[in-house]
Amino acid sequence: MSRLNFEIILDAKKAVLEEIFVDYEYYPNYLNQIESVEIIKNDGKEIVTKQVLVFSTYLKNKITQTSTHRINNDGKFFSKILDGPAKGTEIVIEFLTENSKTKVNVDMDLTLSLKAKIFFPIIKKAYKQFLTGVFYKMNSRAIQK
Amino acid sequence: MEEFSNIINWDKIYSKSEEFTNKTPTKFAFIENFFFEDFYRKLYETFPDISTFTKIEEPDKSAFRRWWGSKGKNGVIDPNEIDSELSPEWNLFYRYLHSENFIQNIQKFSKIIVNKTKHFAFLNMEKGGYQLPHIHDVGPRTLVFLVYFNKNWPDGKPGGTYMSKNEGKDIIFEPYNLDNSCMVFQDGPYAEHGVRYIDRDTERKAIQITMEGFSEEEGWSIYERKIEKIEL
Repeated sequence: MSRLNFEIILDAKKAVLEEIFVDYEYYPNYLNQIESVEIIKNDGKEIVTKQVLVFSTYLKNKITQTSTHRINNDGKFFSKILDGPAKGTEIVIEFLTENSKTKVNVDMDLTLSLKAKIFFPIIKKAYKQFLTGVFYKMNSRAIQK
Repeated sequence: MEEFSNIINWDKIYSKSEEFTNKTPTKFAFIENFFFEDFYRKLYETFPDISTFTKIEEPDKSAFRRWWGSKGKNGVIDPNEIDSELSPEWNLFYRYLHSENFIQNIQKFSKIIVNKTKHFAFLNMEKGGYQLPHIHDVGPRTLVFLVYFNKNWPDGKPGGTYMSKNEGKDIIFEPYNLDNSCMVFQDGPYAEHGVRYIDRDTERKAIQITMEGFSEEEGWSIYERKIEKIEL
Protein backbone atom coordinates (compact mmCIF):
# COMPACT_ATOMS: atom_id res chain seq x y z
CA MET A 1 0.00 0.00 0.00
CA SER A 2 1.16 3.56 -0.68
CA ARG A 3 -0.06 6.89 0.55
CA LEU A 4 -0.76 9.80 -1.78
CA ASN A 5 -1.58 13.14 -0.14
CA PHE A 6 -2.00 16.47 -1.79
CA GLU A 7 -4.17 19.58 -1.61
CA ILE A 8 -5.60 21.96 -4.19
CA ILE A 9 -7.03 25.42 -3.68
CA LEU A 10 -10.13 26.10 -5.80
CA ASP A 11 -12.13 29.31 -6.28
CA ALA A 12 -15.59 27.77 -6.08
CA LYS A 13 -17.64 27.60 -2.90
CA LYS A 14 -17.35 24.49 -0.74
CA ALA A 15 -21.08 23.69 -0.89
CA VAL A 16 -21.20 23.90 -4.70
CA LEU A 17 -18.08 21.75 -5.06
CA GLU A 18 -19.49 19.14 -2.67
CA GLU A 19 -22.72 19.01 -4.65
CA ILE A 20 -20.81 18.61 -7.92
CA PHE A 21 -18.40 16.07 -6.46
CA VAL A 22 -21.15 13.51 -5.83
CA ASP A 23 -22.67 13.95 -9.29
CA TYR A 24 -20.80 10.82 -10.39
CA GLU A 25 -22.68 10.26 -13.62
CA TYR A 26 -21.44 13.65 -14.87
CA TYR A 27 -17.77 12.64 -14.57
CA PRO A 28 -17.39 11.46 -18.22
CA ASN A 29 -18.03 15.10 -19.23
CA TYR A 30 -14.84 16.20 -17.50
CA LEU A 31 -12.37 13.95 -19.28
CA ASN A 32 -12.28 11.49 -22.16
CA GLN A 33 -10.33 9.15 -19.91
CA ILE A 34 -13.54 8.55 -17.93
CA GLU A 35 -15.47 6.54 -20.48
CA SER A 36 -18.53 5.88 -18.34
CA VAL A 37 -19.88 5.98 -14.80
CA GLU A 38 -23.03 4.10 -13.89
CA ILE A 39 -24.75 4.14 -10.51
CA ILE A 40 -25.62 0.55 -9.67
CA LYS A 41 -26.81 1.10 -6.08
CA ASN A 42 -27.99 4.11 -4.11
CA ASP A 43 -29.65 3.47 -0.76
CA GLY A 44 -29.36 7.05 0.44
CA LYS A 45 -26.34 6.30 2.64
CA GLU A 46 -24.05 4.61 0.19
CA ILE A 47 -23.63 4.84 -3.57
CA VAL A 48 -21.97 2.12 -5.61
CA THR A 49 -20.73 3.03 -9.08
CA LYS A 50 -19.29 1.07 -11.95
CA GLN A 51 -16.79 3.08 -13.97
CA VAL A 52 -14.73 2.45 -17.08
CA LEU A 53 -11.43 4.32 -17.35
CA VAL A 54 -9.25 4.56 -20.44
CA PHE A 55 -5.62 5.64 -20.08
CA SER A 56 -4.51 4.94 -23.63
CA THR A 57 -1.17 6.72 -23.16
CA TYR A 58 -0.04 4.25 -20.50
CA LEU A 59 -2.33 1.24 -20.61
CA LYS A 60 -3.24 -1.36 -23.20
CA ASN A 61 -6.48 -2.26 -21.45
CA LYS A 62 -9.45 -0.35 -20.14
CA ILE A 63 -10.00 -0.41 -16.40
CA THR A 64 -13.47 -1.47 -15.35
CA GLN A 65 -14.08 -1.23 -11.63
CA THR A 66 -16.77 -0.72 -9.05
CA SER A 67 -16.44 1.68 -6.15
CA THR A 68 -18.44 2.44 -3.06
CA HIS A 69 -18.91 6.04 -1.87
CA ARG A 70 -20.25 7.53 1.37
CA ILE A 71 -19.99 10.66 3.47
CA ASN A 72 -18.43 10.01 6.88
CA ASN A 73 -19.75 11.52 10.11
CA ASP A 74 -16.91 14.07 10.01
CA GLY A 75 -18.09 15.32 6.60
CA LYS A 76 -15.28 13.72 4.63
CA PHE A 77 -16.05 11.90 1.41
CA PHE A 78 -14.92 8.28 1.49
CA SER A 79 -14.55 6.02 -1.55
CA LYS A 80 -13.23 2.49 -1.83
CA ILE A 81 -12.43 0.58 -5.02
CA LEU A 82 -13.99 -2.86 -4.77
CA ASP A 83 -12.43 -4.70 -7.69
CA GLY A 84 -9.99 -4.38 -10.60
CA PRO A 85 -6.24 -3.71 -10.46
CA ALA A 86 -6.62 -1.05 -7.74
CA LYS A 87 -8.93 -3.17 -5.54
CA GLY A 88 -8.82 -2.08 -1.91
CA THR A 89 -7.70 1.49 -2.69
CA GLU A 90 -9.30 4.02 -0.32
CA ILE A 91 -9.71 7.71 -1.06
CA VAL A 92 -10.74 10.36 1.47
CA ILE A 93 -11.60 13.82 0.19
CA GLU A 94 -12.18 16.79 2.45
CA PHE A 95 -13.47 20.21 1.36
CA LEU A 96 -12.56 23.12 3.63
CA THR A 97 -13.42 26.80 3.30
CA GLU A 98 -10.27 28.91 3.35
CA ASN A 99 -10.21 32.68 2.69
CA SER A 100 -13.35 32.59 0.51
CA LYS A 101 -11.87 29.73 -1.49
CA THR A 102 -12.03 25.99 -0.97
CA LYS A 103 -9.12 23.80 -0.02
CA VAL A 104 -9.47 20.21 -1.17
CA ASN A 105 -7.44 17.65 0.76
CA VAL A 106 -6.89 14.36 -0.99
CA ASP A 107 -5.70 11.39 1.04
CA MET A 108 -5.38 8.18 -0.91
CA ASP A 109 -4.21 4.76 0.21
CA LEU A 110 -3.34 3.17 -3.09
CA THR A 111 -3.42 -0.61 -3.34
CA LEU A 112 -2.35 -2.34 -6.52
CA SER A 113 -2.47 -5.92 -7.72
CA LEU A 114 0.81 -7.85 -7.76
CA LYS A 115 1.03 -7.38 -11.52
CA ALA A 116 0.59 -3.61 -11.22
CA LYS A 117 2.94 -3.05 -8.26
CA ILE A 118 6.02 -2.73 -10.45
CA PHE A 119 4.47 0.40 -12.00
CA PHE A 120 3.70 2.00 -8.62
CA PRO A 121 5.62 5.29 -9.16
CA ILE A 122 4.08 5.86 -12.61
CA ILE A 123 0.57 5.03 -11.45
CA LYS A 124 0.87 7.21 -8.35
CA LYS A 125 1.96 10.19 -10.44
CA ALA A 126 -0.76 9.53 -13.02
CA TYR A 127 -3.42 9.32 -10.30
CA LYS A 128 -2.35 12.66 -8.83
CA GLN A 129 -2.44 14.29 -12.26
CA PHE A 130 -5.79 12.71 -13.05
CA LEU A 131 -7.44 13.77 -9.79
CA THR A 132 -6.01 17.30 -10.01
CA GLY A 133 -7.40 17.59 -13.54
CA VAL A 134 -10.83 16.39 -12.43
CA PHE A 135 -10.92 18.89 -9.54
CA TYR A 136 -9.91 21.80 -11.79
CA LYS A 137 -12.68 20.89 -14.22
CA MET A 138 -15.16 20.57 -11.33
CA ASN A 139 -14.11 24.04 -10.23
CA SER A 140 -14.74 25.42 -13.73
CA ARG A 141 -18.21 23.86 -13.69
CA ALA A 142 -18.89 25.15 -10.18
CA ILE A 143 -18.03 28.77 -10.91
CA GLN A 144 -20.39 28.73 -13.90
CA LYS A 145 -23.30 27.65 -11.66
CA MET B 1 15.10 37.61 -51.04
CA GLU B 2 12.41 38.58 -48.53
CA GLU B 3 12.90 41.41 -46.10
CA PHE B 4 12.96 40.02 -42.56
CA SER B 5 14.88 42.78 -40.76
CA ASN B 6 11.85 44.52 -39.20
CA ILE B 7 10.40 41.53 -37.41
CA ILE B 8 12.38 40.50 -34.33
CA ASN B 9 14.27 42.84 -32.04
CA TRP B 10 17.47 40.80 -32.01
CA ASP B 11 19.42 43.28 -29.88
CA LYS B 12 16.94 42.70 -27.05
CA ILE B 13 17.29 38.98 -27.46
CA TYR B 14 21.07 39.00 -27.51
CA SER B 15 21.05 41.13 -24.35
CA LYS B 16 19.60 38.08 -22.56
CA SER B 17 22.05 35.60 -24.03
CA GLU B 18 24.45 35.55 -21.08
CA GLU B 19 21.59 35.21 -18.59
CA PHE B 20 20.18 32.31 -20.59
CA THR B 21 23.42 30.41 -21.03
CA ASN B 22 24.47 30.79 -17.38
CA LYS B 23 21.23 29.49 -15.85
CA THR B 24 21.39 26.07 -14.22
CA PRO B 25 20.11 23.41 -14.13
CA THR B 26 17.73 24.64 -16.85
CA LYS B 27 18.67 27.38 -19.26
CA PHE B 28 15.84 29.89 -19.53
CA ALA B 29 15.25 33.60 -20.06
CA PHE B 30 12.39 36.05 -20.18
CA ILE B 31 12.67 38.59 -23.00
CA GLU B 32 10.54 41.74 -23.22
CA ASN B 33 9.97 43.65 -26.49
CA PHE B 34 10.59 40.50 -28.50
CA PHE B 35 9.20 41.97 -31.76
CA PHE B 36 9.73 45.44 -33.16
CA GLU B 37 6.71 47.46 -32.07
CA ASP B 38 5.16 48.05 -35.52
CA PHE B 39 5.37 44.43 -36.49
CA TYR B 40 4.08 43.30 -33.09
CA ARG B 41 1.05 45.59 -33.42
CA LYS B 42 0.13 43.97 -36.72
CA LEU B 43 0.48 40.46 -35.29
CA TYR B 44 -1.46 41.46 -32.18
CA GLU B 45 -4.32 42.96 -34.16
CA THR B 46 -4.63 39.88 -36.38
CA PHE B 47 -4.10 37.15 -33.78
CA PRO B 48 -6.55 34.39 -34.80
CA ASP B 49 -9.90 34.27 -33.06
CA ILE B 50 -10.32 31.59 -30.39
CA SER B 51 -13.27 30.14 -32.34
CA THR B 52 -10.77 28.81 -34.89
CA PHE B 53 -8.84 26.84 -32.22
CA THR B 54 -9.27 23.24 -31.03
CA LYS B 55 -10.07 22.82 -27.35
CA ILE B 56 -7.88 20.34 -25.50
CA GLU B 57 -9.31 18.82 -22.31
CA GLU B 58 -6.85 16.41 -20.75
CA PRO B 59 -6.08 15.68 -17.08
CA ASP B 60 -2.93 17.76 -17.36
CA LYS B 61 -4.37 20.70 -19.26
CA SER B 62 -7.33 22.74 -20.38
CA ALA B 63 -6.24 24.80 -23.36
CA PHE B 64 -6.85 25.81 -26.96
CA ARG B 65 -4.50 25.11 -29.88
CA ARG B 66 -4.31 26.09 -33.52
CA TRP B 67 -1.49 24.35 -35.37
CA TRP B 68 0.37 25.51 -38.44
CA GLY B 69 2.59 23.38 -40.66
CA SER B 70 1.76 20.04 -42.26
CA LYS B 71 4.36 17.45 -41.36
CA GLY B 72 6.20 15.58 -44.12
CA LYS B 73 9.18 13.21 -44.14
CA ASN B 74 10.87 12.90 -40.71
CA GLY B 75 8.12 15.04 -39.21
CA VAL B 76 9.47 18.19 -40.86
CA ILE B 77 6.87 20.92 -41.24
CA ASP B 78 6.34 22.62 -44.57
CA PRO B 79 8.22 25.95 -44.30
CA ASN B 80 6.26 27.51 -47.14
CA GLU B 81 2.77 26.58 -46.05
CA ILE B 82 0.46 29.56 -46.40
CA ASP B 83 -2.44 30.11 -44.04
CA SER B 84 -4.73 32.28 -46.11
CA GLU B 85 -7.00 32.93 -43.12
CA LEU B 86 -4.17 34.79 -41.43
CA SER B 87 -2.64 38.18 -42.13
CA PRO B 88 0.38 38.75 -44.41
CA GLU B 89 2.44 39.54 -41.30
CA TRP B 90 1.70 36.16 -39.72
CA ASN B 91 2.60 34.44 -42.99
CA LEU B 92 5.81 36.44 -43.25
CA PHE B 93 6.72 35.58 -39.68
CA TYR B 94 6.03 31.89 -40.31
CA ARG B 95 8.37 31.90 -43.31
CA TYR B 96 10.99 33.75 -41.30
CA LEU B 97 10.99 31.03 -38.63
CA HIS B 98 12.38 28.66 -41.24
CA SER B 99 15.02 31.00 -42.65
CA GLU B 100 18.79 30.68 -42.22
CA ASN B 101 18.89 34.14 -40.66
CA PHE B 102 16.44 33.19 -37.88
CA ILE B 103 18.22 29.93 -37.13
CA GLN B 104 21.66 31.54 -37.03
CA ASN B 105 20.44 34.29 -34.73
CA ILE B 106 18.87 31.78 -32.35
CA GLN B 107 22.13 29.83 -32.28
CA LYS B 108 24.00 33.07 -31.56
CA PHE B 109 21.65 33.80 -28.64
CA SER B 110 21.43 30.32 -27.15
CA LYS B 111 24.83 28.82 -28.06
CA ILE B 112 22.87 25.66 -28.79
CA ILE B 113 23.07 24.06 -32.20
CA VAL B 114 19.42 23.99 -33.16
CA ASN B 115 19.05 24.14 -36.92
CA LYS B 116 15.38 23.65 -37.70
CA THR B 117 12.00 24.89 -36.54
CA LYS B 118 10.13 21.74 -35.55
CA HIS B 119 6.79 23.01 -34.37
CA PHE B 120 4.61 26.11 -34.52
CA ALA B 121 1.26 26.58 -32.81
CA PHE B 122 -1.05 29.32 -31.65
CA LEU B 123 -2.01 28.83 -28.01
CA ASN B 124 -4.93 30.25 -26.14
CA MET B 125 -6.44 29.80 -22.71
CA GLU B 126 -9.53 31.22 -21.12
CA LYS B 127 -10.99 31.15 -17.61
CA GLY B 128 -10.46 27.62 -16.27
CA GLY B 129 -7.37 27.09 -18.42
CA TYR B 130 -4.26 25.53 -16.92
CA GLN B 131 -1.34 23.23 -17.62
CA LEU B 132 0.01 21.10 -14.81
CA PRO B 133 3.78 21.16 -14.23
CA HIS B 134 5.56 18.78 -16.57
CA ILE B 135 8.92 17.95 -18.10
CA HIS B 136 9.41 16.90 -21.73
CA ASP B 137 13.11 15.95 -21.73
CA VAL B 138 12.95 14.77 -25.34
CA GLY B 139 16.58 15.46 -26.21
CA PRO B 140 19.75 17.51 -25.70
CA ARG B 141 19.10 20.19 -28.34
CA THR B 142 15.51 21.41 -28.04
CA LEU B 143 14.51 25.02 -27.44
CA VAL B 144 10.96 26.10 -26.62
CA PHE B 145 9.79 29.69 -27.15
CA LEU B 146 6.48 30.99 -25.79
CA VAL B 147 5.68 34.43 -27.15
CA TYR B 148 2.82 36.43 -25.61
CA PHE B 149 0.18 38.73 -27.11
CA ASN B 150 -1.77 40.20 -24.16
CA LYS B 151 -1.97 43.82 -23.09
CA ASN B 152 -2.27 44.92 -19.44
CA TRP B 153 -1.87 41.51 -17.86
CA PRO B 154 -2.34 42.08 -14.09
CA ASP B 155 0.77 41.67 -12.00
CA GLY B 156 0.79 38.41 -10.07
CA LYS B 157 -2.06 36.81 -12.02
CA PRO B 158 -1.67 33.34 -13.56
CA GLY B 159 -1.41 32.83 -17.30
CA GLY B 160 2.29 32.97 -18.13
CA THR B 161 4.34 29.80 -18.35
CA TYR B 162 6.26 29.37 -15.13
CA MET B 163 9.48 27.46 -14.50
CA SER B 164 9.29 25.31 -11.38
CA LYS B 165 10.62 22.38 -9.41
CA ASN B 166 9.12 19.73 -7.13
CA GLU B 167 6.01 19.20 -9.27
CA GLY B 168 5.04 22.86 -9.21
CA LYS B 169 5.43 23.36 -5.45
CA ASP B 170 8.31 25.78 -5.99
CA ILE B 171 7.85 28.31 -8.77
CA ILE B 172 11.25 29.64 -9.82
CA PHE B 173 9.94 32.26 -12.24
CA GLU B 174 6.55 33.29 -13.63
CA PRO B 175 6.17 36.15 -16.13
CA TYR B 176 3.47 38.83 -15.76
CA ASN B 177 4.29 41.13 -18.64
CA LEU B 178 2.60 39.09 -21.35
CA ASP B 179 2.64 41.87 -23.95
CA ASN B 180 5.23 41.32 -26.68
CA SER B 181 7.36 39.13 -24.44
CA CYS B 182 8.90 35.69 -24.65
CA MET B 183 9.77 32.85 -22.30
CA VAL B 184 12.48 30.64 -23.74
CA PHE B 185 13.91 27.53 -22.17
CA GLN B 186 16.04 24.59 -23.16
CA ASP B 187 14.29 21.28 -22.74
CA GLY B 188 15.99 18.88 -20.36
CA PRO B 189 15.53 16.65 -17.31
CA TYR B 190 14.91 19.63 -14.99
CA ALA B 191 12.95 21.88 -17.38
CA GLU B 192 9.73 21.69 -15.39
CA HIS B 193 7.09 24.20 -16.48
CA GLY B 194 3.35 24.80 -16.45
CA VAL B 195 0.59 27.41 -16.30
CA ARG B 196 -1.42 28.09 -13.14
CA TYR B 197 -5.21 27.83 -13.25
CA ILE B 198 -6.66 31.01 -14.79
CA ASP B 199 -9.36 32.26 -12.44
CA ARG B 200 -10.77 35.29 -14.26
CA ASP B 201 -12.55 36.11 -17.52
CA THR B 202 -9.78 36.62 -20.03
CA GLU B 203 -7.90 35.11 -22.94
CA ARG B 204 -4.21 34.29 -22.69
CA LYS B 205 -2.89 34.51 -26.24
CA ALA B 206 0.49 33.10 -27.19
CA ILE B 207 2.44 31.16 -29.77
CA GLN B 208 4.82 28.28 -29.27
CA ILE B 209 7.88 27.76 -31.42
CA THR B 210 9.99 24.65 -30.90
CA MET B 211 13.47 24.40 -32.43
CA GLU B 212 15.70 21.36 -32.49
CA GLY B 213 18.77 19.81 -34.00
CA PHE B 214 18.11 17.98 -37.25
CA SER B 215 19.97 16.10 -39.95
CA GLU B 216 18.65 14.37 -43.05
CA GLU B 217 20.51 11.17 -42.08
CA GLU B 218 19.56 10.93 -38.42
CA GLY B 219 16.40 13.02 -38.17
CA TRP B 220 15.64 15.08 -35.05
CA SER B 221 18.10 15.21 -32.17
CA ILE B 222 15.81 13.41 -29.75
CA TYR B 223 16.48 10.48 -27.44
CA GLU B 224 15.33 7.09 -28.66
CA ARG B 225 12.74 5.99 -26.18
CA LYS B 226 10.34 3.19 -26.77
CA ILE B 227 7.25 3.73 -24.68
CA GLU B 228 5.78 0.36 -23.82
CA LYS B 229 2.15 0.43 -22.81
CA ILE B 230 1.40 -1.72 -19.79
CA GLU B 231 -1.52 -4.03 -19.12
CA LEU B 232 -3.11 -4.02 -15.67
